[in-house]
Amino acid sequence: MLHEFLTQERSTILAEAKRNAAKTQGARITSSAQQEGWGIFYDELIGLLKRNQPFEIHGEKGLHTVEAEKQGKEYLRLGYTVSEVVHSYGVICQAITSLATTLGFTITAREFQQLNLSLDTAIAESVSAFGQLGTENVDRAEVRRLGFLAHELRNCLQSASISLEMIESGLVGIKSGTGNMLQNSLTKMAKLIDTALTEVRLRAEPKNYFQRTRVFELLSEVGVTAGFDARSRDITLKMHGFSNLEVDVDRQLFVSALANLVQNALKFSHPGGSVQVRARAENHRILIEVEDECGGLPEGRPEELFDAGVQRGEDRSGMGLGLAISRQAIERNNGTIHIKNLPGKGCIFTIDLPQPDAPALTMPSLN
Amino acid sequence: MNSNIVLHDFLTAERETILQAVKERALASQGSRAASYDLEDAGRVFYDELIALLKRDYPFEQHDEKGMHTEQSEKRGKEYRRLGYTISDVVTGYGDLCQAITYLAGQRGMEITSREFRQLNLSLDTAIAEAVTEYAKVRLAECSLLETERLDYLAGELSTCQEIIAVLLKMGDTTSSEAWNKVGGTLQQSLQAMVTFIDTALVEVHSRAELENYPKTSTIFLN
Repeated sequence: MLHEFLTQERSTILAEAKRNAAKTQGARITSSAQQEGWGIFYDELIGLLKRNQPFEIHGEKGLHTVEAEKQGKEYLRLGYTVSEVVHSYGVICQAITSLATTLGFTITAREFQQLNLSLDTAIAESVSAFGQLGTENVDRAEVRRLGFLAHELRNCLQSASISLEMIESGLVGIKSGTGNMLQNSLTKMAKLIDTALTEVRLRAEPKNYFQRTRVFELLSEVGVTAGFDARSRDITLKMHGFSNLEVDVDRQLFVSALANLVQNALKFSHPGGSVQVRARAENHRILIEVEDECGGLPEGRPEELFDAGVQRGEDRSGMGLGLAISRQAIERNNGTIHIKNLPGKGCIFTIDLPQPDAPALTMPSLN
Repeated sequence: MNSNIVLHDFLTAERETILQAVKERALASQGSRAASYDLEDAGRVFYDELIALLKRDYPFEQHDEKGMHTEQSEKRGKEYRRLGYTISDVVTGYGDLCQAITYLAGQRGMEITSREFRQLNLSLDTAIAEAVTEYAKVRLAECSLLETERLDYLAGELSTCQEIIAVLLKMGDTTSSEAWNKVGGTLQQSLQAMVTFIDTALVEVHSRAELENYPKTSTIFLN
């Protein structure tokens, strides 16, 4: 009988299944829960085959539910794909049938039917749990992002409303500190909204609207908004060296990406410090650098900062999506972004874009 | 029936009986959900691919490289999603085929060797893995599209308000105090509109997340 064969060859089959699974898992991590799950499921399988229930009541018994569900969730936690969840059960069947062939053990069609039904039930429950938890995670992430955006906007709106009330009451003029506060709040709101719109475009609109643009204009556009932020943080913002350069870019995506880099630089630089934005041509490329004085990055791989959800420094406000969106926006402009760490000083983000073939216009330098 | 017949010959000889049994099993479990010609057709194509694969009897090591069922399974995964089935139904859909084969083999006294069953099971697992992957991909894309639409709406409306405010502020900078009073009123309206949009978003956040640590929405009163 198959269940006797499985009991007798338990350790051999489980070892073979784990060996086969390890081949496909590669260097990915495993966990004790995942490893123990195999043994628990295997013993449940033996129990089921031993009881030899009529097939009609199989579904109602739902023997593997708890373990299969647990396994599905564990595979998701460990970063496996749904395909690998299916194959994790497949390797058990492969190990059983491979050993049966080697030892000349005969399995009846009914036993195959029972074995297959048990495996399919477990796979179905496991991928359901995997999928459900995956969807919940996506939903949670969306709610967090929407919550962050809405709360940040609301804070800005609150400041803007108070400022407006004071201006309207006649206590202060529009060209006062309160007027500046109103302007700052609205600028910050504009930035939040712009980032949201860029994200929407990156995700929903595959088309780019390229146009030949002077680097001077792009940096000026970013500089106007960033200037307010720099002053409020007591940081000097210097922009230079972009006198006669042009690029072919989707203006909205590019400005959003650059504004994000500059805003990050301001956010992490120490008060009294400076942020520099430089542009130059080099080997038929246009390089735009944003250098901050954040004190340098902690040890690790700096490029990981561009991954969604990764945040920099102690200021954890925001969702860590800014740099990920910046990178996507620059890639949509046929460019790349790199980061260079200057230990103890700061870091330099470099946007690298192709230089258009046509001759550039000559523009005065802004310093 | 000769019990020594090989599995692919058995599948060829019993093609209609097995496919009919699969259809009946599917009908019993699908309830009121729709079937489709594409789904049924994909099942038939897969069945014939399965026979061809068993006939060729590849060494197991080469199995993955052959990737025989990819296109068909992907189509099937997508179709299951379109028709509103669950991911569990996708697995059961393939499982029904194995059940029908092994059940009929049992009835006919046909012996399936362990090697044949191994081949059959591996082919089914590969197909299931590809189908559920496609199913999950489509589901994720649907979630992402919904989120993008919501964000698009919110950001678009706020952007309009923000543009109006920017223009008004510029006017406020250059006009007299009487003119500013008029500008101020319109400015308030734009800010109020923004409050409404943001509050709607916050209500959605609270109702979806039930996060206690988020501050409760408070109304901003504008004159």
